[in-house]
Amino acid sequence: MVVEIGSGLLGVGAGLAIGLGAIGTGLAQQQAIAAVFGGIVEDPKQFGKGLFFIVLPETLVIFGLVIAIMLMGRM
Amino acid sequence: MLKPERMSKLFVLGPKSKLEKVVSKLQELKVAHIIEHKKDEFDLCAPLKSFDKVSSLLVQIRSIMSHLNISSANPKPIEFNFNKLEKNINEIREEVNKVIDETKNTEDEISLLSNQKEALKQMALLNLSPEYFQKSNYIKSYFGYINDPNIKEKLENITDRFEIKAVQHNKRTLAALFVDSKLSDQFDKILADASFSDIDISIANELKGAPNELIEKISKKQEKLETNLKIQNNKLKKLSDKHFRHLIDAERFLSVEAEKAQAPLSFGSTRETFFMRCYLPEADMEKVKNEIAKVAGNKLHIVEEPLGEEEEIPVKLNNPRYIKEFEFFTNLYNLPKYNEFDPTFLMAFTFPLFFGFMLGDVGYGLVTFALFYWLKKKFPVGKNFFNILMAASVSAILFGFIYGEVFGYEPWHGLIIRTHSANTLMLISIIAGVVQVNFGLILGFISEYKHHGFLKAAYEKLSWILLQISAVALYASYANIINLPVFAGYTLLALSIFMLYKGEGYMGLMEIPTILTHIVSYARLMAVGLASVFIAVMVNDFATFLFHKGILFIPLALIALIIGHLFNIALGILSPSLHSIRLHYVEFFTKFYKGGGIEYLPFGAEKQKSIL
Repeated sequence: MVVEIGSGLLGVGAGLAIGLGAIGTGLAQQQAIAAVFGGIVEDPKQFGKGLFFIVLPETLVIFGLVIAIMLMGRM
Repeated sequence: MLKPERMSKLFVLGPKSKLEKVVSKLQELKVAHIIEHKKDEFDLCAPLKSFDKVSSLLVQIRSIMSHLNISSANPKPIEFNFNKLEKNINEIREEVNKVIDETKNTEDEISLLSNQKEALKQMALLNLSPEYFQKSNYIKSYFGYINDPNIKEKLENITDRFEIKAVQHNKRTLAALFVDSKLSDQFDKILADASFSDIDISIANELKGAPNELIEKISKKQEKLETNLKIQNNKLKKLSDKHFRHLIDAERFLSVEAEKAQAPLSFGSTRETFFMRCYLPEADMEKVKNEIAKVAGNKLHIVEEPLGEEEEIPVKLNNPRYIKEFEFFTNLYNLPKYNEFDPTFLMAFTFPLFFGFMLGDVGYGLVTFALFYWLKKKFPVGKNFFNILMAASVSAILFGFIYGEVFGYEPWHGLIIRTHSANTLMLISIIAGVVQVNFGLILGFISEYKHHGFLKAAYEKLSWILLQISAVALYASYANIINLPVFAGYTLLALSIFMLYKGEGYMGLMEIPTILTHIVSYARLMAVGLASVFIAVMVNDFATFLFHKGILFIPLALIALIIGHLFNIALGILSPSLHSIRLHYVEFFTKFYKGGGIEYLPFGAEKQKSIL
């Protein structure tokens, strides 16, 4: 299979977009989850708010996915 | 439906002789949210006469219940006769206390014996009887571990009036030392240098005889006591079984009575009168007025007071039955303020819609529906929550038909084939985002308009909509989609930024990118959905691969199918529901919703239990 350099780079870019987004999400969630669970232990009523603080950083990897899909469309 | 229930405020003034009747009636009606009177020139009202008696009985009954390990579950609303109940509780208390005391004594004795046994075991190592260690005026005894092998020589340097017995135990030297008590000061010093650690054996001082025999005796005694303890615990269990129902019902009755008796603490009073204010739903107003007037023989002065603009009015959400379940989400986030929109109604449609869009599989939908139905029967506390998820599962089944997906297979040709149309799904997601975000902005505009006038509302909310329009206009003119002069777009952009600055200040300018991120954030509808469908397809492909490997691999293939799909269903419950909630809470609510209302807690109504 012969792939042009341009499309190859697009593929690498798409991969980086998702991968780096996922790393960012992971780093952010690691702290968010720890903090939220600390809060929930003290006051279980904070569960609702805590929940969306946990999923908040997932936006990063989703943006990465969006970019990746857009790049794949150009390949 | 979009607003919390309308409330009225009532002021009631009457003679103290009618206080109890009014309080009883209010408790029975279960609609009045009493406003606490703060002490000013008018003092607080004293609690009802029954208060002391009721609260002391309540404390007693709760202590009995905790001794018997009874937690109050499903009490029946039964009325009790006060004096009878008091007598009855006293009887039960005596009965229970007797057994509890016995148990306690037995437990104490057992622990004493086991301590004695420990001490004797140490003595047995040196083969010394406890008598040797009895207090005496002439001999002082030491017992413990010594960390010096030459201790004997050192002691001999001082005197020969001592006796030592030592043995190696656990790699240390256990020693018993008997000395002339006149020399004890000198010995104390030497032993301290030898880091002597004392073992307290005074607990066994009273015993007489050879240690091993004593240990045997004590063990026998202990066994006997353990059986006694078991019998006593059984007695407690029997008592608990016998009084369980009665105690739970009585506890409920007393709690209700105590609530009633202390209600006047929130009232104000003069020497001869009491007065109180309360909120209640507008619809119940006339009824409450009439009923309490009647019960007090028309000796009350009842006035309806106007509601102030800044008042903290309690919020009672007002939704039809199906939508009521979704109040769970509103409560979880924050109750709306009295004058705010109640977002429950909107969420009741978009939550299942988003959930279904993401999960979208007939098979998974059926499984989750069955699961939540079962959970609902099993844990009635979480009824609301499971009903919501059942509605969401139905939506997932419907979307499954649209996508043509059953457990990741495609038995028929759906309208959208998810595995091949990421772009279409993304487009739909973004459109959903544009619609919901702007809908939120419009709601925000309406509520700002009502409270702060048109200009402020336009600056704060319309500016965002204008910003989006200007971005679209600019894109359209640069991409030559429509023939629009570029400066039109820029003018619009400048205008919207100016409005935003007027409305929200520098913070507003800093937040300009959020409008884009909030809309793109809806791409998660596509992302989570694709993740779910690709995992399903992968599981199926893997299983098919195993099926083709030969007959021996068929069980393995089945296991792979079951585990894979169970895993995906678990993810498929967690991920779509969390992301759907999040889209509402973060992207949608922030456009129009602040929350922070206080909960409507009608006097007399029992607090509802919640799953969280």
